[in-house]
Amino acid sequence: MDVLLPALGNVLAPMALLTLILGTLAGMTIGALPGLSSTMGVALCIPITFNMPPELALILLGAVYVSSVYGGSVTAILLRTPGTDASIATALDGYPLAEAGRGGEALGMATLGSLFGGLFSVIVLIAIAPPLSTVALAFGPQEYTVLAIFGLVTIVGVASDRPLKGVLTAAVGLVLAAVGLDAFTGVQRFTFGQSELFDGVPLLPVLIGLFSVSQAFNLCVPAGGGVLTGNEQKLKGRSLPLWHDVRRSLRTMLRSSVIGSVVGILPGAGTSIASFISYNEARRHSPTPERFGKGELEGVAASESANNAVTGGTLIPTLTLGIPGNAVTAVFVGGLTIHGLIPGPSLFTDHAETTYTLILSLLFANVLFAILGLWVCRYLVVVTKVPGAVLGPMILVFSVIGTYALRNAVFDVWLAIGFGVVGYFMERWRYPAAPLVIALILGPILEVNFRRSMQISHWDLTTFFTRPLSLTLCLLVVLALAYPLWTQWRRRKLQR
Amino acid sequence: MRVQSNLLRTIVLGAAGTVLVGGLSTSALAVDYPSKPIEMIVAFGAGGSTDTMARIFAKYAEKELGERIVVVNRPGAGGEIGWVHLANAEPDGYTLGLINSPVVEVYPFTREETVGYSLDEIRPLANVITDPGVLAVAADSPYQTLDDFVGAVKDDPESVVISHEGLGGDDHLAALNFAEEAGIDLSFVAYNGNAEATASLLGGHITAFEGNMSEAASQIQEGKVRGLAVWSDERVEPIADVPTGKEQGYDVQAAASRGFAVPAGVPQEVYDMLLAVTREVVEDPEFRAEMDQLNMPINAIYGQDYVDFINDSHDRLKSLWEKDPWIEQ
Amino acid sequence: MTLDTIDRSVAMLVGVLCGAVVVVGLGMRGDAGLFPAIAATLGLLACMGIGLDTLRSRPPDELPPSLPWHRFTIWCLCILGLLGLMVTVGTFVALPLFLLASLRWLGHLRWAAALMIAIAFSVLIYVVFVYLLAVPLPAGWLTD
Repeated sequence: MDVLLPALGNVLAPMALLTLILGTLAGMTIGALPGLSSTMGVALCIPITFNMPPELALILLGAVYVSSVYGGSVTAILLRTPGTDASIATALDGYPLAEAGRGGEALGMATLGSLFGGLFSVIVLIAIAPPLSTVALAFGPQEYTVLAIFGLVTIVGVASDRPLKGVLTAAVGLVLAAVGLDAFTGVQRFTFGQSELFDGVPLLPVLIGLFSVSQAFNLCVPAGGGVLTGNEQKLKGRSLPLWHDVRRSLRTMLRSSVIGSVVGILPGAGTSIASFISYNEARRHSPTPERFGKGELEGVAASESANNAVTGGTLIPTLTLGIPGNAVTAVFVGGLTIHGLIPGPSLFTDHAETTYTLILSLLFANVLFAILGLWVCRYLVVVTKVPGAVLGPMILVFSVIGTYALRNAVFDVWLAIGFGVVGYFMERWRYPAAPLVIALILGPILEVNFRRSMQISHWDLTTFFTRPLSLTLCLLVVLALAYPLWTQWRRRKLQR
Repeated sequence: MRVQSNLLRTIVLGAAGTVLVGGLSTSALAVDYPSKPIEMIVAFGAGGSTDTMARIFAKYAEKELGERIVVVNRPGAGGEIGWVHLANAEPDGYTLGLINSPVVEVYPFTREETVGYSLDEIRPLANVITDPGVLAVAADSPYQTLDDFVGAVKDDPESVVISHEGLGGDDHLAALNFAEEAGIDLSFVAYNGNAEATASLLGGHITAFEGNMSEAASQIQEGKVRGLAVWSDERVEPIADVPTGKEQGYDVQAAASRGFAVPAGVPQEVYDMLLAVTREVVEDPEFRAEMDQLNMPINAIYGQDYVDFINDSHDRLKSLWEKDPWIEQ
Repeated sequence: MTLDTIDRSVAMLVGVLCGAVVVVGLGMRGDAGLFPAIAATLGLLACMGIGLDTLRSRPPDELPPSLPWHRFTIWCLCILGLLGLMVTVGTFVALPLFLLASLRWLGHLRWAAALMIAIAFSVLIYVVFVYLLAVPLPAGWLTD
């Protein structure tokens, strides 16, 4: 721990603080804009870090990473335009709150949740990173398969008032997830010869289409449309959540932070699994589950603390094993190696000072975005008062430019617009969009790991039940499936 | 052997080239090129190893050219999208791109019906990196040598599972080549990238890992992973204690190479100038030091030699493919 | 059209598509088609469920909120114009025109206000994406 002090000195040096502030602001902006993902933010910062000393470079990358995940919540809540899949679950409850004029409270809760999750995972990273990294290795293809099923089961929670329609959009998502060159046989599946589809239907254009572009339609098409519903278009409620609401959500935040950190450790599991599982768990433990999806502050807290807890979690295997936990940290590894830091245990011995500088800068970045967030959110809420027909074209422009910027492909822009129209009609006809996106994310994880399990076990289906970890996960899935049915049954019995 | 003679030639040529270019780029060749930023197409995502090399290269080449180089990522279809863009770009010298061998030369026949470019449309400029293939097992694995490994597969083919990172990619080809050489059948598990495959290997979920030296080096150096063989002519730094396949009686050569190419039809003066700039950068000790740090072994092959290198590899792989296609048809 | 009629048509359409996916999937080489076939079967079952659900006589069969076709058409034309102009004329001609058109005809702002917002917002996009993030947006005629 004697490296913590010099590391602290590094972070608090004037240049470092300036970098930290700029990085946090840049990250928040990047996260908030639809189409600019955390991955892209970090990737775009790497050339800038070429000529920086390694400490400053890491501070910049770390600050951009954690604050971009938080930044996604701002537009997810106020405009229902989640920039990345991490904030879809945030929009589920955040946007209804914004519509009711309570956007300020939702933003405040999101900020506190993000801060809690972020700090929790950084503390975990400082305290027990090396032993925890074994968790990443204990998960084999069998466990990933069951984890993906667990994530899909949460769709039941998300689309609970119309389960059949939820299952249908999820199935469509799974079919879309199968598009592309099959990694195992090389067969072209439903690509229609389009080389843009060989790698599968790209996630972010679909996400931006279903949420942001369709939202632009929602705002623009009806005459006099806008975010705020109701006749008196004014902001009700306060700009910060009540202490009572925060205290009520503390347990949810803690549970979500644990889920987020653990899922973060697993390479390739993805942020959205963490936020959806946490959201579902919060709903399951709530005394008023029927309020979820209609504007429940606890739902915002659950999703946000989970997705920010993932940030610290993903760095655990990245730093200790040299195995990046997700796309962002893979880019991060590129940034580290450019500065001569090869991820692995040597980071905690030979380069301990630099490594702890990075970790501490994450801590400070969390605090910094929380302060900035709590300060600006009372002003940002004004966005919801802007007339829909003014807001809509701007959201559309951001969506189009952001989608193009993902991989410089016009094809993706058409895809986003197409899914925007589909999403607009899906919403009018009450088909939930979130299950489609979750299925599109989890489909490949499910399929690839299922087939890997089969290749490893030589087509022995019992392999999922003979491994202790995978069996435990199977039981959790059964629990998550059976619990809502059981409560429903009990409620019906009580009513009688 | 081929690589070595190329190296020797390039050193001699490089020395002569440097002298020549110093005079030429300012006078005879200076047909007002470059007069605007140059686009460098990377067929893989930002932050990956190809992208990292491209960006470092661009940093040095900008100084030589005196003009900005804009790195444009056009990932998709395992590189094909980027190469289609490269092949179709205006051949004016303002677009160059990275090509990854052997992947770039196999698509024209493995994806014969759908592929969007042909090798005739791309003119290779210079190879920079050759990253040899490595077969590795976890440190606690019972297999110490290739013979142990082959023995185990022969005893019980189901007991051994080996990863590769993409069907028809260089890792997959390397493992197939080894299997053929050893007379065994391997059961493969496909992974999307190095990270997941390494995690699976360290967690004991798969038996062996076929990847590239640059990806495996740090794990081997830390002693978590044991290299069984490196598929090159000679042992490579920094994992010089890993024997080559050839030493152990399995003559397998496999590597992933990364170099630069321009659209065919670029004016000869521009091609020569870009070649000279590439040579300057690749021979720069600072650039070499940065590549070393990333465990990316430099293997400079310039101009016509590189064109031949790609064409030879294409012909060799195509005849292999025609004999026994590695993707089910 | 009531929601029930729409649901029935959607279930029919998606059901047929899912059926096609199952057929194609089962015809694929190796086990490549297994997963899409399973997913599409799930979709098919959901479609059947939705279809049967609409046949159950429930009193409140709602109408979806009415769609203002006039505004919808203008908005779609604006978007098509934006994309068309972006790839031909260039992003920074298309953006202000798109914003101007949609703010004027859908937002009913005054020309001056619409023009000001359109230009200011395009400049913002230019600064963020081209200047700060170095994204190579399609420049069209504006190159060179």
